[in-house]
Amino acid sequence: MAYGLPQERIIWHKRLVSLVWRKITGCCLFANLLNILAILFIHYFNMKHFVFDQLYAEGLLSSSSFEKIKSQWANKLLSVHWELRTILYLGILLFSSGLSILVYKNIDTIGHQAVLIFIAIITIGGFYYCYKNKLPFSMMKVEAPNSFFDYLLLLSCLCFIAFIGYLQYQYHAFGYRFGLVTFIPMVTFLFCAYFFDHLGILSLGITNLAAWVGIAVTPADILKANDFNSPTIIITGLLLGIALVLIGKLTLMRNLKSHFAFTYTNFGMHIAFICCLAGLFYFNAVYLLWFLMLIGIAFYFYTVAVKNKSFYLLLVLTLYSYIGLCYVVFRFLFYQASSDGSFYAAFMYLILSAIGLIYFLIAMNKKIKKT
Amino acid sequence: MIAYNKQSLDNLELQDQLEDAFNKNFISVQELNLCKEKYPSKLYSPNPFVRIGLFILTLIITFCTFGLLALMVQLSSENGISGMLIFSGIISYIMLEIMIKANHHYKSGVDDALMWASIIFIVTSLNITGSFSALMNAVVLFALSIYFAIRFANMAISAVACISFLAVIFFTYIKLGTFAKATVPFLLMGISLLIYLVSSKKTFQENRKYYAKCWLMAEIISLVSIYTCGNYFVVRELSNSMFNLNLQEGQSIPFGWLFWVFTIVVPLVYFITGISKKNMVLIRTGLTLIAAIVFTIRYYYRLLPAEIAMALGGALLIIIAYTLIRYLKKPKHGFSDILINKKSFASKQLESLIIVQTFGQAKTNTGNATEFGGGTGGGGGAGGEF
Repeated sequence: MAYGLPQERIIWHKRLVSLVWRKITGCCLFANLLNILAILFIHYFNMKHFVFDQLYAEGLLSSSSFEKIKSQWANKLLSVHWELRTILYLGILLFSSGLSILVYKNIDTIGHQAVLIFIAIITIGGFYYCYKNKLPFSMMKVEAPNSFFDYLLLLSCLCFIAFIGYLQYQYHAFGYRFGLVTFIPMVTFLFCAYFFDHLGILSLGITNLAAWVGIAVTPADILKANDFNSPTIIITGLLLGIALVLIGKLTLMRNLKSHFAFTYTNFGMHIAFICCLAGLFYFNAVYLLWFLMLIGIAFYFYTVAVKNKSFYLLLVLTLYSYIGLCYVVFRFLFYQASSDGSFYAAFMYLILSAIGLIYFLIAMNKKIKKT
Repeated sequence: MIAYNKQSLDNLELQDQLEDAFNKNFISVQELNLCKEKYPSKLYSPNPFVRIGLFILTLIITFCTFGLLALMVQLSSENGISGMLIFSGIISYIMLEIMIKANHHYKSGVDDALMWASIIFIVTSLNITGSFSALMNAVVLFALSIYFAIRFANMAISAVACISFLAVIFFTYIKLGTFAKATVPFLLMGISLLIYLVSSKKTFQENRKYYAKCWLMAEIISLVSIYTCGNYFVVRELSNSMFNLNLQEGQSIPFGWLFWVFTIVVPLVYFITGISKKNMVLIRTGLTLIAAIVFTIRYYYRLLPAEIAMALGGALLIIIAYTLIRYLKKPKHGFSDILINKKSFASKQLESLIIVQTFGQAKTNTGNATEFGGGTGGGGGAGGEF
């Protein structure tokens, strides 16, 4: 991480700019997709008069319910809530990344202090506003006092991180312990998430926690950026995943901001499953042991899914365990010399197991819906 | 025509409406269940996540069955494989009809997978020899997708039908010569506009109630396609690479100014019309395409360095959003900032994931200065060696 030489720094700037641009284009594509979904969603739920008229006429709806529905028709407001939030969010993304690139690029021309002070003003101002306006702290869910709060908090947190990064980059304020560069954001994020009650910042905190122990967990990078041929990464990841799941469980049991539980469980589950599969592929000698562990984790999440009526958990655990099962079966089939017979068997296995899983999913769909 | 039982479709729609009313606290559980009993639907539509699972598994089954058959027949020639693919496509289609007739699958994932598999098999089989032209591909794709869209009222496939229809026109028209090549954007724009004018009428969509969503899809696609055909970037780069114009950097296409006007004006027209007519489709498409204006301009003219443009633009967006949110605190002119849907939990979770993906690419410690990084300090309590 030595950016001393000017050429290296220029290369690094270019990489940063292109990275951010790619991020933004990705964002736009994603927003596009969401837009289409949202358009469909709104149209889908346009209430239709004749349906409710008919039901009311048949005496299936009480008159008070019918009145409520009617009042909905009368007030034909269009909600632009998510549109405005998207604009705000894009603005914050552009502003904070533009600012950090600006700082790195002009490091030789702008006074360092001036830059530091500018970022510090935004950070302090933002945090001050949030601190002044926030509702009293509680271990339950605390609503944001106004609609701008969450986004301002996000902006201040990101600026604070830019501030820390800049201090480290320019002055080596934290010496050469690079771990601190992820440790401080992690602590900041986690603290702010709990103090101000912000799910997005909690997720950022978890990502930084994972980065601190050496694993990339952002959705698009989890498979790309990690080297799953390293036993250290596999075992760290597995432990991290299990720890996150346990924290999620504790959060629920002790009622410590119990709405955070899903975020912990979700991250923990994916990390644990992916690392378990990686272990299955990597540790050849004891692969059955890893397979058993996979089954164990899957069974745990199965009970959670049934208990919480979560179709999402059900799908995720089914797919991950299916991958593990397929690996074990294929290993068995192709471990010796592979013949035509093993190809036939493999195809037969895939077809039959997929049919079996379809029946499983259909049965589970029924079971969860009923309870 | 439509493969599903119409009565069941009506009842399913009614149940969806009731669920929505229930989610908004308008009706009670008893009323919901009573109505559902009175209007039962036989159609099998599981939860969206289960649908995804069934979709993947059905695709695995279909393609593995093809693999198994191909293995048993020991195919060697191109014709053999091509025939086999057609055969599989037909079998998938028959299975699809059986699943719908016998098991009443409707948007269950199984039917979606079989639809796509059947289209993919047939289109691949025609392309296996490599002598099939782009025009013929578009024609076949259009024929297949329009049939599937009519028979199964599937939204995604109706989008394919719409796009392939435009592709058919494009490939036919450019065969006519240089004049045709120069005017093809205008022709496509006109045709998209026609599709839009037909499909966007609310009464038109409601009268075709089973196909309402297919026509909505056509509406969105035609709006986007009108813009794409007039976008300077698309027209310049596409005509440069397809019609060998050999433009140098900085050189413009004939009538370049006209396309610049389209590039900038069309999204604004969408947006403003959308606001004055309170049309959400137009507003959202307009907003998304305004981003396309920025990208197109920046691709050719770098007025400001990227980071300054980003910081300024970002600040501007924050100010706009802030002012509007403030302004709409109380609903004005029929617009409001209220979150209508009660299921905000899922959207909050989704939002937090987007935040992580866009902001949170923290560098992992893989350098040499990270003795604490590895398994020694794994889990949450890393700290021992640090």
